[in-house]
Amino acid sequence: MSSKIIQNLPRRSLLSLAVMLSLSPCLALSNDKAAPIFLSAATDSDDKHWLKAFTIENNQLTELYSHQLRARAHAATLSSKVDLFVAVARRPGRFMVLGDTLSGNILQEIEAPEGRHFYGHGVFSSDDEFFYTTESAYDDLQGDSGRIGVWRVNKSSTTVALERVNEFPSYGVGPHELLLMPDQETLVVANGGIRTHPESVREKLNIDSMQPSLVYINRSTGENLEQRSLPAEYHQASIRHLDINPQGQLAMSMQFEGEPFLRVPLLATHQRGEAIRPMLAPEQVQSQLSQYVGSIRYDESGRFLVASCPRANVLTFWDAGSGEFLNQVRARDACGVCAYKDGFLYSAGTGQLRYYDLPQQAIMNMTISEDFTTGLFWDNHLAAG
Amino acid sequence: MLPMDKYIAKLSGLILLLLASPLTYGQNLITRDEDWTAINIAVTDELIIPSYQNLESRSLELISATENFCSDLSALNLDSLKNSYQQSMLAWQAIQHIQFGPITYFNWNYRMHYWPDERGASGRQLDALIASQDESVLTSNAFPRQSVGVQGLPSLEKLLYDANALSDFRDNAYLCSLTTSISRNINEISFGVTQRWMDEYRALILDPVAGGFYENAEDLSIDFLKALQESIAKIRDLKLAPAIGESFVTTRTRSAESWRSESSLTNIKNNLNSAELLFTAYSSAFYEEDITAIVNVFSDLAVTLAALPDSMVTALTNEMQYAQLQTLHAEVEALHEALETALKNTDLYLGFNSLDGD
Repeated sequence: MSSKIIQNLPRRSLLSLAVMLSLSPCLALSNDKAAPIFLSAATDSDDKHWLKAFTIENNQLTELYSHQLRARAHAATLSSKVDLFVAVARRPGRFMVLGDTLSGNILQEIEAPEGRHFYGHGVFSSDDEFFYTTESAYDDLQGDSGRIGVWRVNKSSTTVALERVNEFPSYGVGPHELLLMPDQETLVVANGGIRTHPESVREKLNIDSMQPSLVYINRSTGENLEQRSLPAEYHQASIRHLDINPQGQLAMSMQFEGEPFLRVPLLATHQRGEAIRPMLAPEQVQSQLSQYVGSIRYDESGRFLVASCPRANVLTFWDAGSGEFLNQVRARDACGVCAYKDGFLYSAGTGQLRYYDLPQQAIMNMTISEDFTTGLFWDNHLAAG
Repeated sequence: MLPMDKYIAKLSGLILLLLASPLTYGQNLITRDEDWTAINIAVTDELIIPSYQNLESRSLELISATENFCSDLSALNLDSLKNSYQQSMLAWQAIQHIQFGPITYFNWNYRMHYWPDERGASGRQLDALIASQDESVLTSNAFPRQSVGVQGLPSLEKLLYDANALSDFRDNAYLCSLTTSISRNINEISFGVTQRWMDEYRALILDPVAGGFYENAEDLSIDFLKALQESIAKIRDLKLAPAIGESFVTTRTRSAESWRSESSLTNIKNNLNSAELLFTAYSSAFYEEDITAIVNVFSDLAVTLAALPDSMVTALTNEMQYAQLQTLHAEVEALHEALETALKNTDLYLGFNSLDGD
C-alpha cells in the first residue's frame, strides 16, 4: 500500500477539535472554528483505488493526504474524537484500513474473519472503544446471514489496532449501513435483504424472495430491540443507507430491485415505536430516479434531507418533517453527500466536489487544484468530522 | 430524415470545423459550449426528431392496417398488418437507444417496448386480459393504466405471430379490440414523445443552462454519448449473449428479441446503424486514432451482418451461421471497448456511481 502525505499545509490541530459527538457520519459543523476534514474513497482513470482526505478553508479545497488501496473502498468513518478513521471495502470485499486522521498514516490493514465479507460500512461507539461492521456469513445460503462484527479499539502509547472480539446477528440478510442512535447504546442497521456470495462476485442471488428490514440492536448484548419492514408490496426495496438527525429521527434510502416502471418509495423516515413512513416524489420526478438512491443525509439543522440519485444525475431535497419532496438539482453522477455550512457538500463520479447552498438553492463552486480532481471518480460516500 | 450521405456531408462540415490540432490524451477536444450545442442541435434536428416522427407515421399506418384487418379477417390483411407491425418495430429500433428525455416520461419507454421480460409476466398478463374479455380496460383512458407488459410492441408481436393467429382472431372478437388499443397506444406514445422533443426538449438543447435542467451543453452531450455506449452494451449483453449461449448446442432461441417475427438481426442492424450515425455526429470529440478504430469496427460489423439472415432463429440452427453470430458478438464487444477507450482518452466521463449498485 503506497502512501502520499501532503506536507506543509495550513493544517489545524485536529486533536484540538472539540469532541464532535455528531450522530451523523457526515456532519461538518459550521460552528466549529477548525476547518472540517473530509474523507472519501475514489478511483482514478488508471483504475487505481484511493482513500483521499481534504479540507475546506475560505472556500479553498485542499488535499490533505491520499492512500492507494488494494481495491475499491465504499465508505470511510471517523471516530467520535476525529483522531481515527476506518475505510471499509466495497461489497463483497474483505479488507478495511485503520488510519490516523491527523497524520494520515495507515495504522493497520485488517482482514475480515474467515467466511465473512464486508458491506462497506462501519461505525465507532461514542467512546471510540469499539468499532462495528456490517458483514455477511456468506456460506449460510439459506438463513439470516447478516452479521455485525464487533472490534475493540486497542490503544497503547505507541499503537492503535482493531481486534475482533465478537459478532452478533443483524437479523436479516445483506446488512449495509449502520449507525449509532442518540442513546449511544443502540445500533440501527439497514438489512438490505440481498444475498450475495464472493464467488458470485456482485450477483444478487435472492431478488424474488428478499426481505429487507430496519433493525435496532443493543450494541452490548446483540439483542434485537425493534425490527421494522416496509409494506409487503415494497419487499424488493433494499434499505441501504441511513442518517439520524439531532431530534432522533432516522432517514433511510432504498434501491428497488423489482420492475423499473413501478412507482415505489426510495426514501423513508422512522421514529422508534412507529411504522416506517415512506416518501414519494411527484410522479414525473419519481419515474426519473431509476429506482436508485445513492446516499442520504440531513442538513445541519436536521430539518432537510438530501438524497443523491446518481442514475438520474440529480440531487433531490426533502422536508424531513413532512416527508414532502422540495426540489431537485442536476448533478451528474453525484453520490457522496455531506452536511456542510447551510447546505451540502457533494462529490461525483465526474471528479466534481461542489457545495449546494440550501437557502440560495444554488450550486457553488470552490477553488480546487485541478490536479486533485482531474481523472478521479469519487466513490459513493463522503465522511466528515 | 435526411439520407445517410447527405447527413454525413452536413455533419462533416461541422466536424472539420471542430477538429482541433493534435493534443495530448486526456484533454477534451471540444472546449466551447457553443460547439457542443451545435452538435447537439444537429443530432436533435437530423436524427432524433425525424426518427420519432418516422415512428409516429409508421404507427399511424399500423392503426390503419389494424382497422383493415379487423374489418376483413383475411390472411392477406393479416400479412399486411404484420408488415405494418414490422415497420413500426424497425422505426422504434432506430431510436430505441435514446433512453433519456421524453421517452422516459410516464414510463413511455417500457410501455412501448417492455423487453426483456425474463419472467414471462407480459405473456401471462396478456393471456389474463384476453380471458377477461373486459372491454372497459381497452378505452384510450384506461388502457395506458394497464400493465406495461400488455401495452406495446411485444404484445402485438405475440398476438400477430401466433401460429393460429388468423383462426384465433376469427374466433375471438376481443383480439381485434385489444390489437386496436395497442396500435393506438403505440401511436399516442410516439406522438407524445415527438411533441415533447419538438416543444420542450429542443429548447433545452438550444440553451441547456437557461432550460434549467442541464449544467451545460457538454452535460447534455454526455447523455447522447451515454445512450450510444449503453445501446452497444445492450446489444452485446441482452440481444446477443443470452440467445447465443455458451455453444451451438446450448442456444436459446426464445431469448432473442423479436424471435416470433424472426427479425432479431434486423433489429440489431437498425440499432447499429443508429449508433454509427450518432457516433459520427460526435466524432469530433474523439482523437483521430480512436475514431479510426471505431470506424473500422463498424465496417467489420457491416460485413458480418450482411452475411447473416434477418432471423436469428435461422442463424442459431445453422452451425456456420452460428459461428458468424459469435463473430458478431465479439465485434460488438470490440466496438464497446473501442468506444470506452476513446472516451477514456478524453476527459468525458459517462458515469461511475451511476453504474454502481450499492
